[in-house]
Amino acid sequence: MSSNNQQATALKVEERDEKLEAQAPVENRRILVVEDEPEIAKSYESILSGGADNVIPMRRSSRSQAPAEPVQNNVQGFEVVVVHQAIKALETVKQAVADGKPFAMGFFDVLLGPGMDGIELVRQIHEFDPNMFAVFVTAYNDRNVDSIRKLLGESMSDKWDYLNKPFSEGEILQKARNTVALWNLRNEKQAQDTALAEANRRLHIGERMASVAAVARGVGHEFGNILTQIIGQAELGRMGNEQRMKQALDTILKATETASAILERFKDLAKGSESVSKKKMIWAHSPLIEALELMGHQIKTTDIKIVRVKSERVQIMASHSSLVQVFVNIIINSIHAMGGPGQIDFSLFKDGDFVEYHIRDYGPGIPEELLGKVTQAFFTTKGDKGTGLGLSICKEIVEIEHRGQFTVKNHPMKGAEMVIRIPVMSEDD
Amino acid sequence: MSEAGGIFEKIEDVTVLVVDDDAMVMSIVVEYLKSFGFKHILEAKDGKAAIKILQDPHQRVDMILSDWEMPNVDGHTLLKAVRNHPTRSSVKFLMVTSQNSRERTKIAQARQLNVDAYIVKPFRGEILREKIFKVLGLDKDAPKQAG
Repeated sequence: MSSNNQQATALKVEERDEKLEAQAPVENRRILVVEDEPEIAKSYESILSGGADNVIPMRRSSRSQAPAEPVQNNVQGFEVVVVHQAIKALETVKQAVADGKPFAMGFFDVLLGPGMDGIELVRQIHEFDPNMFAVFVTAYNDRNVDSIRKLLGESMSDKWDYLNKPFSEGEILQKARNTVALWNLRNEKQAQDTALAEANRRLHIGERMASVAAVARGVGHEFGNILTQIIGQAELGRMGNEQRMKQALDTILKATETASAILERFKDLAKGSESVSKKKMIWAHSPLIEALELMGHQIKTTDIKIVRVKSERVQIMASHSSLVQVFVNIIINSIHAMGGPGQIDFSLFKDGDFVEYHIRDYGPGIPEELLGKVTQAFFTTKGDKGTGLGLSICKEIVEIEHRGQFTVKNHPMKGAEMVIRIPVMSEDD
Repeated sequence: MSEAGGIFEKIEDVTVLVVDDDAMVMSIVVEYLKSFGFKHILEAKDGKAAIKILQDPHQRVDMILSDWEMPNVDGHTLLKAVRNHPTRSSVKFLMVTSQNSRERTKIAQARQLNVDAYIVKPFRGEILREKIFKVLGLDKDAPKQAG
């Protein structure tokens, strides 16, 4: 019934996925050096920028037995920015974040003269750029790692490292390579996670819109009929006497009322597809009735009988438009499953702190081995007609949005049965 | 029994069968037809009821004006049944569809079964009149009464 539109939606989502993949992040090779001694600052610059020619010979690391030979930096150099004061460093990082060109890491001299020290500086930097890695460099054992950890906090403990002065060229270069690589790996992971979440969100919107499209086809037919009636009454009324004209106008007014009601319901359904709507006290039967009305045309033309087995008047705290979505999806599934004339039974009653809906069709039912799978995303028996998100969306709306339960089973006599339990009052209200 | 297929002299002689599940649309179409000058109008609320009428060998039917989407037997099935019928196969058939995404597919299906004309809802009386008169081979300049 909705194959064309569902396919179209699926295609659109795929196109968007490609676009998302194309936006892979550019490698960040930016390094900030905060060092108040100009000589040392200069040597950082030449080591990291790739021009090893002018490197001032460094003293050997106190811990390393390796010879302090200049290292040829064959790799493409880093983009190094050197500042001498803590305040200037703060400004530089802020500006870099604002420009969308953040630093991957910084080398921070711990003792920076008056004002703040390197550790306090990093603590402040992390307030607006928590992703930037810091390597503290100091000649004095005035700060042990535990005191730094305490100052910067547990959550930041993987965002900094420590290096003793005097350092070797190799130590600086390797630290820079590793840390920059780590920043880029994490950034890429973050970008992928964001892209995946976005793709998921769009896919879900797409699927919700697919049910809107299915309803739209019926709504289009109803509007065609209503407009035929309005045009006809106007034309025929114009030719008739005063009484006929008055009757025509009355009929037209009634037709516009019907059209407005259909439009209102439809707008509400579409609204529910775009965002998670707010919960409020509603009659439990109202979203079900509305879904049946929205699907009225399809139900009628496929010759399906709707039987209300039981309907208690209960109020629940729920999102009306989200539940309409659930019932529309279930009805679409049932119509597909029966593939022609048939029957849908529904009942609604209160059970303790829950309201329970049962919706049963008289189709072939669901093969036992597939019962657990039908509410999984991308499961479909409709081939290319469906994206296989219909019932998974239902489950999500019922179980995550409403903290209820969504169960799919086979009726002992015939057909499939969906059981929806929604708490009368939700926990978060 | 059917006189369909020939050119009709007068609109008063033509028997038209209107098939639509929407009672309001049905009443509008019937009123239009009367204003065009039709005297013999039959009504069926779906394809099943239409077939029942067509199965009566004594019932004259020259033209069918049928909705496409209907419960029980839809317009497509009705058209197929008419075209395969031993005596009704040349009855003029005018299909009425709703404007929606599958309209083209439906029109293509109907063309394969030699539909005589189709009209898309909503429509003006004048368009309906033109289509009917063309299908029946009647004088287009016949006195206009609607549109």
